[in-house]
Amino acid sequence: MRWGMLINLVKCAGCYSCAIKCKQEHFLPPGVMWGRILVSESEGKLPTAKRNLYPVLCNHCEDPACVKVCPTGATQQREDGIVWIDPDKCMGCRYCLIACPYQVRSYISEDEKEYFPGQGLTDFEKIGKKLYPHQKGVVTKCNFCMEIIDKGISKGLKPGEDREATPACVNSCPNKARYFGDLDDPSSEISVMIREKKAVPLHPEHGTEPCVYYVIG
Amino acid sequence: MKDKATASADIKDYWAYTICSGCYNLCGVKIRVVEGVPISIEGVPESDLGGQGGLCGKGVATIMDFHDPNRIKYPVKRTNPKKGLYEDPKWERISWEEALDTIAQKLKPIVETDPRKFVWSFTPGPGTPFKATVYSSFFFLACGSLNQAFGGVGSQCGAAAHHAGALMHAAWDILPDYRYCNFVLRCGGNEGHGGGRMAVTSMRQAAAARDRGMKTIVMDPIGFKAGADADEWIPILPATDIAVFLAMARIIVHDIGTYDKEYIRNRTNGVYLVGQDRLFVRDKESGKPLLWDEKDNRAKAYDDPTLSHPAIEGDYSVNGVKCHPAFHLWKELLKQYNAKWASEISTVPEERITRLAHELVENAKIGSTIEIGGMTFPYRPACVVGYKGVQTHQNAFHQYLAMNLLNVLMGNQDSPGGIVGSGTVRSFGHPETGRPRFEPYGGVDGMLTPGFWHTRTPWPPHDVGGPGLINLLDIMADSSMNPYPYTDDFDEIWTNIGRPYEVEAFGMYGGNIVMNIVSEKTINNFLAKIPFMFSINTVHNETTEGFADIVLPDVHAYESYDVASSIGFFFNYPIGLDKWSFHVRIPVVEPQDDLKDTLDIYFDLADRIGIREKYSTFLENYFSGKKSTWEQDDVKEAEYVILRPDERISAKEFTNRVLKYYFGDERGVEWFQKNGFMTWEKRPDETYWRYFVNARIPMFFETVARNKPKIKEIFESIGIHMNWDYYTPLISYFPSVVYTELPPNSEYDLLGVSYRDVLHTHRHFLENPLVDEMSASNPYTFNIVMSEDTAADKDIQDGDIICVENHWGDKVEGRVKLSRLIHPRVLAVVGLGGWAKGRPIAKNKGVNFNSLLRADYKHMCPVVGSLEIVARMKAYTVKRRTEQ
Repeated sequence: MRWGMLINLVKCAGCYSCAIKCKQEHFLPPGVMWGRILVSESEGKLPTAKRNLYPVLCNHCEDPACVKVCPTGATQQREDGIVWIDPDKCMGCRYCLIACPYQVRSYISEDEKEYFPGQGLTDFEKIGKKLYPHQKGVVTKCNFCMEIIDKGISKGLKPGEDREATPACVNSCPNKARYFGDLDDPSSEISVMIREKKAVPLHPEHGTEPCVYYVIG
Repeated sequence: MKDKATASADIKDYWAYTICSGCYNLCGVKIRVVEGVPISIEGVPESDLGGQGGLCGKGVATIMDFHDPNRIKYPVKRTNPKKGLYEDPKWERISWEEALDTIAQKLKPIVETDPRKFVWSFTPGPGTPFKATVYSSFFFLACGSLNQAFGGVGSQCGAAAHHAGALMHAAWDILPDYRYCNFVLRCGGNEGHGGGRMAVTSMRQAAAARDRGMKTIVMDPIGFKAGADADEWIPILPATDIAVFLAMARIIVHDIGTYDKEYIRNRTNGVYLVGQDRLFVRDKESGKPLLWDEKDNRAKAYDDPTLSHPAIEGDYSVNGVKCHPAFHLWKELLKQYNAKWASEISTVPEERITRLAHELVENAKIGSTIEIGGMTFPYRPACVVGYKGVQTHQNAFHQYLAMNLLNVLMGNQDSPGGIVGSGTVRSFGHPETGRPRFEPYGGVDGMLTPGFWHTRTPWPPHDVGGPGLINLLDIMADSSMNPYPYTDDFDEIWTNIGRPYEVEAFGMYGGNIVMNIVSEKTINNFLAKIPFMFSINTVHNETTEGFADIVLPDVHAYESYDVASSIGFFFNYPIGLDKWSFHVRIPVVEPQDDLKDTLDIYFDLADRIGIREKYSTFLENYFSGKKSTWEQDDVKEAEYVILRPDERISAKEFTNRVLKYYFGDERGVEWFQKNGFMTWEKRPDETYWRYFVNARIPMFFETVARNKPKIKEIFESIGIHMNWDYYTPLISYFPSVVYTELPPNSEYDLLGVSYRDVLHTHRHFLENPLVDEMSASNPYTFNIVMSEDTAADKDIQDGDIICVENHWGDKVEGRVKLSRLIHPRVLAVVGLGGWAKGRPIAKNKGVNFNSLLRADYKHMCPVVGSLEIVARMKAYTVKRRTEQ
């Protein structure tokens, strides 16, 4: 069992749903993103130059660079491949932040940040502190909606197939560009799609064996 | 999924269904509420209205709109008597009683003596298009005023597109039938890529189509939006698409020779006979336009039961009058529009234009059929589509219709794979109740007429009258919107008209006209003089702060009973063969603070002004299906099925009654609270209604020629000297004023365009901190995009602060982002910017090119009133990036 994700860039229209939904689902503070959209332009001249638009997130690598460097063991990897951070153990040294070749980790600063600066916390932010609190002075990143997956499995549901057990970003995509499933199962929808659509991970040369695949088209 | 239970202190965590407040698509959503706080929003997987479970980024972000501490929480009045841009209104809280009473006291005498002095505007968005266009418009009409001025959709609104949509498709707008389409030439617009009215629905459908191999070619000045998702991006100068369209038509008709002749013959007025005077040859007795039947060689009326094979070409003589089928005349006209000529105008290579024509024809498979649901339809999996970038120019009427005529030549209108209406316009209704029921039909002269429409009836055009309205729409028979009175020449024209009255009151529902229409200075000139203005808004903005005397707080969409957003006259009905999906707005939480539901505000005001019966009658006529357009004087039926004129009910009860009327007594508010929504299958003959409705569409715009003498006479007499050549019934080439008002070697060599970013289909979202955060991480959104090569020529470096100036001396400044994906002569911004205190997140973000526009009759399409939204500019660095 190794959880992986596939993002079909032919279908993606860059609507930011995944990035914003992730923030909403996890009550992430201002300035912190677990998923983000990278936009740039390729080399080349008009009109054959291309725009690059990549939704990126933690790749939950098979051989994660972050786990290797963590001095406290806060960053760790589960049997099913999910790389997660125990905030109680994290001391905020940010070594992992630098070690990650994909730069998908963020640091939650000590300052209290408000979404409407100077106007107090909204009810949304206040409820967030109860439902999904974040410690300050620690590193944070995408955890493949670990809590949703685990709860779903305990109810007998299948992550990637049953909405209630599936990461929020996958459900939120209006173009059905995101898929989630077991990379170790060659007959899973995601494994089939990787083969048929020749999906590739980003920067395989980093050698961390990422588990997020992209259909480039 | 838990139901939303009735109010109880024990209910801490529930999901409730409503409709997204993000844009016009009005996607069905469900919202999670914990301890009375909405915290999460998702799409509805079982519904086809929207993302089938997904939702776009701005839709997700609407939860934060709901929680914006800057939301207006109670009625306020202005205590700073000075009105103008940048003024601090010094709001003071007042009671609802004082607010409503003050408004009524101002309006009542105007309504009773001369309602023309009451000017109104509304903004259909975000999220509340139909509260604006249904609840609000009927209120103002009930006051007796036809003096509608543009709302916050501003100069970008679809003066040409909606008019053409009505005439061609009985629909507000058009979309590719993505389910079956194989080839789309998309021009000027980002619909299917996050923009447009059906933003998410079309995005989803287009994504699936791309995934199965549909080819998209985008012809647009900018290539980093829709063009970036496409198979090919063709750069083009703004507002020159007309040349390419006409050249393609010429190649198709004269060189390739393959086009849908049977469609022209049987479904268009291309077969109506036209005399030397450019008007139809009509039957002497009936007045009906005549056709030439080739079968028995004689002229017949369009509805003659023996009509068999109307001629599409030829020289004929009827009652001694020499005449030709309309198509024959257009075919002759097309000869002059060759690809070389079009290339010189548009900068699209000649070879590419020629190849485009061939590709369109090859992919259209003219003559082929497809079976769907046991019925056989013409199969035409290719189309040409576009919106703002095609129609929001001074040459709008001819440019936008030239595009539509390519689809006519392909015979793809409302057929599988071709162009369908934005919102299916034929409905047999829910299987159990048969409601809502509407379908287009053949009306005057046998021409297509919508079965369900709003605003003024598009066909036939109203009689030319006036002058008398401040929007000049009484004169412009083919226009439903134009920039008047927000123009630089309005005052002069009003004086020429004799100043029959002065505007004494201005009412606004939603919106931000200061920012969204033209230069803020132009708006200031109009609004600052008006003695009394009131508005209903969710947050303050540059317009309320500068000019409103009283502002009433609007509920958020998620706190509102709003059934208008469900029966929204077309564009939010599911597209193509997507299931009918009916959602309704019912509050997910009770309104906060001192808020009243929008419809309750209108009911209360209507009572105080004494127009409640009229107002209720408008609502009754619309929702019962008796009459949906603004002209309702001809409704005679006095059986009231939803709301009697003398009844006093609430927004909640009104919603309840309408739901029951449509879906049965057991399906009122309570049923929808429990079940959320309903779906039923769409019939193929609802989606692809074209061959089931006996009506023709125009290739020849006779009323334009017919109305010309009177319109010209009135306009000339009041100092409006437009290019009257535009009033030709044959779609022809006209360059936009943006290319004729300056010499080709002018130093103002750049053309500024505004485009729709996926997160900013309305300016509203600038205030949303989640959207703001994402936008800040996007290299384009807040910046002025410029060609890398052009910048090098002008010694402009990436990240510089540049000044952009028009040839009238107006300037804006912003940061430049250099790009390889933009036409060398174009600058592009998402129209943003602002200074309002009431929108602190939005303040100073982005750049507004509207400040560089001029609005007057020279910059307006003479026929449909579209404003030219591109201006000639020059740009230069004022501060290097390294100095910032």
